Amino acid sequence: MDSLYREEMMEIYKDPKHKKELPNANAYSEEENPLCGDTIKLRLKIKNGKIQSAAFEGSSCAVSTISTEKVLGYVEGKSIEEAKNLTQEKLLDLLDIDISMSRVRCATLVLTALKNALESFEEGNE
Amino acid sequence: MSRKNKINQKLDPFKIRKDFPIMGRDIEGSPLVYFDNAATSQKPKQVIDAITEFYSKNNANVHRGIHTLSENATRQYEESRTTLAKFLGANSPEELIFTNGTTHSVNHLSVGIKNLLSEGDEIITSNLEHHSNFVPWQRLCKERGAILKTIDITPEPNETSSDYSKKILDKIERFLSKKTKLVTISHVSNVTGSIIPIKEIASIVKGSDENILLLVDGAQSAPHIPINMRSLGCDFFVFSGHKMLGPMGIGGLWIRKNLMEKIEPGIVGGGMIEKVSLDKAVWAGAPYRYEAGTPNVAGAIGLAAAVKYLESVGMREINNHGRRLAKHTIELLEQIAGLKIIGPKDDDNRIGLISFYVEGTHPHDIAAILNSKGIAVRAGQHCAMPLHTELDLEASTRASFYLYNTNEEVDYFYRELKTALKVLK
Repeated sequence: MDSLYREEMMEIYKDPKHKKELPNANAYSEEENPLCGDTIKLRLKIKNGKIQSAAFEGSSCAVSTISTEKVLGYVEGKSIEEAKNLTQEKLLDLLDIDISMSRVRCATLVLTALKNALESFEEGNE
Repeated sequence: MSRKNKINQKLDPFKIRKDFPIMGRDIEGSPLVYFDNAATSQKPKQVIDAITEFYSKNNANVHRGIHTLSENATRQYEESRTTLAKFLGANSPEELIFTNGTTHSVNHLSVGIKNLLSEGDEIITSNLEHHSNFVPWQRLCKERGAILKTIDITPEPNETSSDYSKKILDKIERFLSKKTKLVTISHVSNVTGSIIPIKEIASIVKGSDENILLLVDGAQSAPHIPINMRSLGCDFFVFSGHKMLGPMGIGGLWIRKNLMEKIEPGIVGGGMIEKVSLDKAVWAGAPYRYEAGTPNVAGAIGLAAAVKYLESVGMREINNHGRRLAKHTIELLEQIAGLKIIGPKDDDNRIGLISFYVEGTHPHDIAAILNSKGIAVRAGQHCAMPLHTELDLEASTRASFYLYNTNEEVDYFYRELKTALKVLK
């Protein structure tokens, strides 16, 4: 079985720590992958230019969920600039699982959500 | 062998598999189990050889040169048209236009009938259509100020195929109006595998007004069930070659003969004109007026070889084989708690195609785990987003069979599916 479905990954998938509400969030984005129907609602709490906490809701496949979980863990405590610099390449490194070409879009859905949430936050603060 | 014997002869998938070179390969260390036939079918060596032979011995453009190769290519291309026309039960070969496939055919028509559609006119379609038979009409209606009326024929849980058919007929009848210009509907749903009662739809539509045009999307029916244009009752029939053992990039558009002069070519250019002056062009006769540009000659020849292969097995028997596999699969899937099959489950009026979903799992994960065991299934919305939206599903998993699939493969798929669900749930 490919390494995505190994036990430790499935533990992340079945119980994603960042899948929760974030009542005091001040940045938000909702993205959808029309190919597979995955949706992600991303919420960030940003203070003094830093992402204090991040959370998501929505339904998605294992790749998308694990990727979201890892990205949100990564950006917490980082500055907006640092979070914006998270590239697809870096994300795939961070993920550390074999994913096929067709599922790169599942993995990067969170990246789109993150960028859009940060952009709308910055626009709102201008 | 008499015709009767041939019909009664049970299809032997193990014998058929020997004709398909791809069946010998492994996927991630397991033998390939190909259950994604609704997306595209595999190709027998007879088809591959026909294409190779054309490019090795006869390659030239058609209807152009007077040299030997061009004449050979033209003859083979037109023979392929005749083979396809007979397979479809067309009145004559001229009714059959070669296209790239179903999407191309529908787009071709959506341009070709543009002038027949005025502001306020109506086109009726359904919410189970593949995007290829939905988006072109959506666009055309917007352009012309016409109205696209979509009948909701979402299958209910535990609906029988006969109740389902009645519901479809009832809804179409209620949606018809004096403004209806076209009814366009799938022959077989690519999500449920249900056969839609086209003959009955035709009699309702034509009974209401014989000038209403009826288009049938045969992408999923032409590969699986006997088709006859003289009895189906529609005006247009579109299909793809690659889903019926033929190569990719070839398919057809059948237009009823008496309509051919009314329907404008959707694509214009070389090879489809009678004469051209600086200010106007006169179209050639059918079918050439609808085949602008260099046609896919090798594709047509390959598709004719595919059709001959299908005929040698028998379309009735191919459908029966698909129904047997579907029945076996449904019996197994129904043992899995939380698994739901989309559409009627009885084995009447269906092909070998089953879509399902399991609460709490994503189809992409199921498909990825099955792939690691050599099993190819489709996960997603199968280009039928409106239907998935209506069913409130992000996606589903689809297993679709063909003449080379076996009961043993279904058993293996079932075992691996159960293992996958254990990992995911």
